Amino acid sequence: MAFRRHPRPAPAPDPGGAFEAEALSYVNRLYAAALRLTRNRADAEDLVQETYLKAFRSAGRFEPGTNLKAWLFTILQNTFLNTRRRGAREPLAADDQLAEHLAAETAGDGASPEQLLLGESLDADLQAALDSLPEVFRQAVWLRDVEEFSYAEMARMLGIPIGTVMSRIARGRRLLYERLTAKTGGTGGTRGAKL
Amino acid sequence: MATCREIDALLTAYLDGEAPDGDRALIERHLSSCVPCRARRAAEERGRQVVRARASALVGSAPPGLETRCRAAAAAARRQPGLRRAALWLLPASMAAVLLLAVGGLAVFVSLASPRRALATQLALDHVKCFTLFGRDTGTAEPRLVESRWREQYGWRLTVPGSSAQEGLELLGARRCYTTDGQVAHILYRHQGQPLSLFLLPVAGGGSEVMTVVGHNAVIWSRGGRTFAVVARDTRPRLEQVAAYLRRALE
Repeated sequence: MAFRRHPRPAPAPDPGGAFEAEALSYVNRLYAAALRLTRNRADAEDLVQETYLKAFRSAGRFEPGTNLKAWLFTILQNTFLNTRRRGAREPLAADDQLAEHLAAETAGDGASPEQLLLGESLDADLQAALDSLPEVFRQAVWLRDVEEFSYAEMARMLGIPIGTVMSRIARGRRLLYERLTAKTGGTGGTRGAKL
Repeated sequence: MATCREIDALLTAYLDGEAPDGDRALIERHLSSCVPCRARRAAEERGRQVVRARASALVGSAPPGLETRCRAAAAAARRQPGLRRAALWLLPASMAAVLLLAVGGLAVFVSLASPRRALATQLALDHVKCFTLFGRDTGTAEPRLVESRWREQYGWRLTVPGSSAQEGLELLGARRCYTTDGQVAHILYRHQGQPLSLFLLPVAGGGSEVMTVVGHNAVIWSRGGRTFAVVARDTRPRLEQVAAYLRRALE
C-alpha cells in the first residue's frame, strides 16, 4: 500500500452541484467586500474571479456542513493580500470626477447608466465614509455589521485574536459615525467622542 | 469598580447583544454615571445601526457578466483546466469576458440570458463614461489622422468612418476602452449635436440586433471576425439610419 506524504482528502461529494450553486449565490457579497478592499471596480472583479477559481479548485478541502460563506471570504481576504504584495494595478482615474458629472446627467427611464455606475445606491455618503476608514477598521465593520460573521469566525478569517477583532469593530464603528456626522455638518461643534 | 478602559473593552459585545448577564449589569451601572463612556457607547451604537440598516443597499449587485464568468470558472475547474483555459483566468476580468466569446466559449453563455445584452449594457456605460470624461471639449477630427495615430500607438489597422454633413455626424476622436476591455476601439462622434459611440471589438458572432439598454439604443452587428456596436440616446429609427451609414463606411 503506497502512502502519500500529505494525503489529500477526498473531494466533497456534490449531488446536483449544490456546493457550486451556494458558492455562486455569494457573488454579490464577495464583489461588495472586494470593492471595499480594492476601492476600484476592475480590481474588485478580478479579485472575485480569482477567489472563485481558487475556491472551485480547492473544493475538496472544504468541509461540508461548515460555513461556506466564511470559507469564501477567507479565500477572498488571502487572495487580496497576495495580490497586493505582487503590486496592485492602477485604479481607474477620475472616479470622483465621473461621479460628479454623472450626478448632473438626466436619468432615463428604468436604471440609468448613472445609477448603475454608482451602484444604484442613495447611500453614497455612507459608502464614502466607509471607504475613508483605515482598512482594518473598514474591514472589521463590514464583516461584522454587513456580513454578520461571528467574532470567532472573523478571528480565524483574519488570523488575529478575538480581542483585536472586537477592538477594531469598536473603533471602526465610532470612526464611521464621526465621519458621517462631520460630513453632514451637525452642529459644527464637537466631532464625536474622543477616546 | 470597573474602569472606563475595562468597560470599553466590553462595549462591543454588549451592543451586539453578546455580553453575559454579569457583564451587562456591570456595564449599565458604569454607564449610568459616566458621561464619556455613554458618549462612546452612543457613537458606536449609531455607527453600528446605520451600517446594519443599509447593509443590503451597501452590498448592492455585482456588475453584469461577473457571475457568468465566475460560473465559467467552476466549469473550468471541474474539467481539469488545460494551460490555455487556466491562462484565461489570469487575464484581467474585462478581457476574459471578450475572449471567452472569441474562443468559442459561447457554450458557457447558452443557458444564460443574452450575453449580447450584457455587452450592450457595458458599452452603453462606457459610452457615458468616456463622453463625460473626454467628450466635452473636442473639435472635429480627421479620420486619416485618427487612423494613423491609432496605428502608431497600438499597432492595429483601424477604419474610422469620417464625418458626414448629410447624417449630421461629426467625428471627434478615438479611444482605447479600458473599462470594457483593452481590445475595444471606441470612436466618438456627435450626431445631431448628441454623443454617439461606435465600438469595434475583435470578436465575431451573431447577426444584427437592435436593443435598448440603460436609456440608450444600441445597434450591433458582426462582420469579418469583428463585432461593431453603435450606441446613442437616439430613437431607434434615427440610430438605425446612422448605423447604416457607418456600416457602409466600414466595409
